[in-house]
Amino acid sequence: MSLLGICEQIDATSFSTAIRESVWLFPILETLHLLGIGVSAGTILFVDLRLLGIGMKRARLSDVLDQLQPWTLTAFAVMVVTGTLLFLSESVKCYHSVFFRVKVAMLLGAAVNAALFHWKVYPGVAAWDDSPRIPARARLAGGVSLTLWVGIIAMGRAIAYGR
Amino acid sequence: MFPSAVRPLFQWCDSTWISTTIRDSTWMFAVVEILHLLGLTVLLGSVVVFHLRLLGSGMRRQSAPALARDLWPWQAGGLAVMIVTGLLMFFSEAMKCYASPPFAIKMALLVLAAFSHLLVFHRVWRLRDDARLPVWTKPAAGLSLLLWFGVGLAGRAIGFL
Amino acid sequence: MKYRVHLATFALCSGLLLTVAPLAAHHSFAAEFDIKRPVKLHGIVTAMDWINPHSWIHLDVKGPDGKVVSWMIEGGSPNALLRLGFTKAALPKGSEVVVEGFQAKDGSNRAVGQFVAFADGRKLFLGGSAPGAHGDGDK
Repeated sequence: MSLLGICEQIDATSFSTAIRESVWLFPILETLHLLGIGVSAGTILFVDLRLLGIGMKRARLSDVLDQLQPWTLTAFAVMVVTGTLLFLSESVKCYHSVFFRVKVAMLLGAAVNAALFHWKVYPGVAAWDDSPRIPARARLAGGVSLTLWVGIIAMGRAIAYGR
Repeated sequence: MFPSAVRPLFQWCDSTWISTTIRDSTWMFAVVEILHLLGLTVLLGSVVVFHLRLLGSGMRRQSAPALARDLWPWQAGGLAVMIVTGLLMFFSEAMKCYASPPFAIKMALLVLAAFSHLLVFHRVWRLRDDARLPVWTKPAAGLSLLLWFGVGLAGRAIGFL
Repeated sequence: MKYRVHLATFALCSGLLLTVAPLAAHHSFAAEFDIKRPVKLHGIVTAMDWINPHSWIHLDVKGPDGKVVSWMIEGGSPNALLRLGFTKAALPKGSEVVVEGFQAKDGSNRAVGQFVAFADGRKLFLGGSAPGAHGDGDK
C-alpha cells in the first residue's frame, strides 16, 4: 500500500473525520499547538542562545539546560500529541504539502542534532560550563538547532498556504 | 466591539499606501505573518523563562533580578518584532479587524499584559540580587502568564471565528 | 566573541530565508484572493466540504456560452459557520444558489465567499476571511 493510500485510509476513518469536521476540537488542538510553540521552541531558544554565547551569558549552560529541560519536554509532548491529531485529521493534505514534508524532515534533523549533542557534546560540559569560550561543536549544535527551529515554525505556518 | 466613533480611523488605515501594497502582494502578508510567529516564540519563550523563576518552578539557581536583566533584550526585541509585524498585518486588513471581536479582545489583553508585565519586571529588576522575592510576585507572575497566553489565544481566534 | 555573533546571525538568516519558501507557493493566505475581482456566481451546489480550517462549496456555474464550469468557494470553519446560523444541512446537493465573493488572484475558478443567497431571498453568511463575510454591517 502506498503512502498516499495509507493517508487516504486514515482520512476515511470516523476518528479523522470527527476532528476534521469538529466545531471546537480542531480549533482547540490548533491553538494548543500554536501556544505550545512559545513554550517548546521558546525554551530551546534560550539554550541555543547560551550555546552560541549570545544570550543568558551570566548563567552556566548546565544551569540553563537542566532547569528548562522539564518544561521543554512537557511542551514537546503537547506538540507531538496535538500535531499528530492534527495530522491524522488531514493526512492527505499533509501528504501533498511540500511544506509539511520539509517540516517533518527538519524535525527529524532537530532530533538527530539534539541526540548527537546530548550524547557527544554535553557530557563534557563541566570543562567549559564556566568559561566564556564555548567549544565549536557546542556552538554548531546551537546554531543548527536555532536554524532548524526557525524553519520548522515557518514551514508549519506555510502548510496552511498550500492547497 | 469597537465604538463606531473610531470607524473612520480604521477606514483611513485600510486605505493607506502600506495597506494596498500588502493586499496587492502575493507574498508580503505571508512573510510578515511568519515573522510575527517567530517574534511570538522569542517573546513567549522569554516570558515563560522569567515567570518560571518568579513562580519558583524553574531557573531557581539564577537570581531573579539577574535573569530579568539577561532576558530584557529578548523580551523587548520579541515584542518589537510582534508590534511591527502586527501593525503591518493590521493595516492590510483594518476593516476586518474593526469588525472582529477577537481582535478587540486581543488588543485589550495586550495592553493589560504589557502593562502588568512591565510593572512586575521593573520591580524585580530593581531588587538586589540576593533579595527574597516579595510575596506579590507569584500571583502577579501567574496573572501575567495568563494574560500573555490570552493574547495568543485571541490572536488565533481572529482567523477562526 | 565576534565569531559567535556572526555564527548566530548566519543561523538566523538561514532560518529566515526559509520563510521565503512560501513565495514559491502560488497560494498564500490573505493575499490569495483579489478584492478587486468580485464575483457573483449563480449555480448548482455539487458538494459542500464541511471541514477545518476552511469549508468549501463546490458549485457548477453555467457560463454565458452555455458551458458549465466548476468553482470552489472557500468559507469559514465549522465553528464560524454555525455561529452565523449556517448548519451542515443548510446547503444540500442540488441547491440552486447565488454566491458572492472574491476571485483568486491567479484567475482560477476559486473564490472566497461572503454569502450564499437562496431563491427564496434567504442569505447565509460564510464567515471566513473575505471582507463582508460576517454580515451586511461588516463593510
